[in-house]
Amino acid sequence: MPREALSSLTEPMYYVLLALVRPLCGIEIMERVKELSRGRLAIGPGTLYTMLAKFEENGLIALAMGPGSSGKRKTYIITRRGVGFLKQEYERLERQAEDGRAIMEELV
Amino acid sequence: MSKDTVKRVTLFDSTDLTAAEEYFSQMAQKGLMLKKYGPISHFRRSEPCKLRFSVQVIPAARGENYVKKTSEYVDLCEQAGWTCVSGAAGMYVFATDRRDVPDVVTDPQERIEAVTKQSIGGIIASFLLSLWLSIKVVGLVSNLIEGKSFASQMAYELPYSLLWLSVFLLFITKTVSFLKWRRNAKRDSAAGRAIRFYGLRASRRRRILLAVFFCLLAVSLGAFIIGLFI
Repeated sequence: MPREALSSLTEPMYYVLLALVRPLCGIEIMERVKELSRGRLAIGPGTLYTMLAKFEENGLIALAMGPGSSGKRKTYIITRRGVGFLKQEYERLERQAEDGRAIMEELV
Repeated sequence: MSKDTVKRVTLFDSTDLTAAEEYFSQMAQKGLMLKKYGPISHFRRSEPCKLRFSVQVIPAARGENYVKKTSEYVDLCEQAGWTCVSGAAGMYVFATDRRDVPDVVTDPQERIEAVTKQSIGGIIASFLLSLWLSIKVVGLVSNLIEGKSFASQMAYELPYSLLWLSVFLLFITKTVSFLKWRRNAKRDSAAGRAIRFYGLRASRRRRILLAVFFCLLAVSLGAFIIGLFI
């Protein structure tokens, strides 16, 4: 199957990458995303599975070695490439917010 | 089959996921818990309970390493609080009694892609079968015109015609319902709403047609076998 290249991140994808700055398994990622988004975002396990596979294919995350990574529960961590991608996305969001700020202040 | 198991015809298409979820939930409330999902599902008698069901088309259940991928997908769902009840032909049924667990798939685009792939496979298969049967039926009719024995030709023609009719009916039904669903799903996704699937009432007419298809299939196969002995 051809690799599907990622050009930008959706909101759930952004939070999953943020969560993976430390090694986490699937269920921990779901909990961490909820925590990071202050309960606003809930990711379903099916959606998370598809997302993790896509990130792994694109080299943005990798399987983490060490305790907790054995058995059924796979533990993932963001790669250097993933950190670069996350930074790019953060800067893009920051620019968007900056561009909109003046107009939003006028509206309010 | 023990008395504790009840069988029901459950002809749900990949665009009828809501209908399937509603049906299994209603059955659980009546004290019939899904045990095995398929065209004829098996239900186990149990205490009536209120359960949430989630029927999903799993893309991981196809292609390379599909056994491993499906098992990983199911494991993750079970860690999140869903129990995989059963699965057949890429469609898996999950259940939970918890309200706080998010749905198995929360990305509408992912659901549209998975259901589209599954539906297109079924549509192409029914189209090819319908085409092959059309060629067969035309061949048999031309033999009849050429003056071959009516009785011997009918023995072959009747089952083929019935089979062709049922497959053609299936092809048209699947195509129309899929195109209607996809148009509405894209509209829902663009508006940021949850994707809607056909519910029990909306899919009733089509499920009756599917039942007619299977009846015609059974009759035509029966007629074909009888024809072999004439």
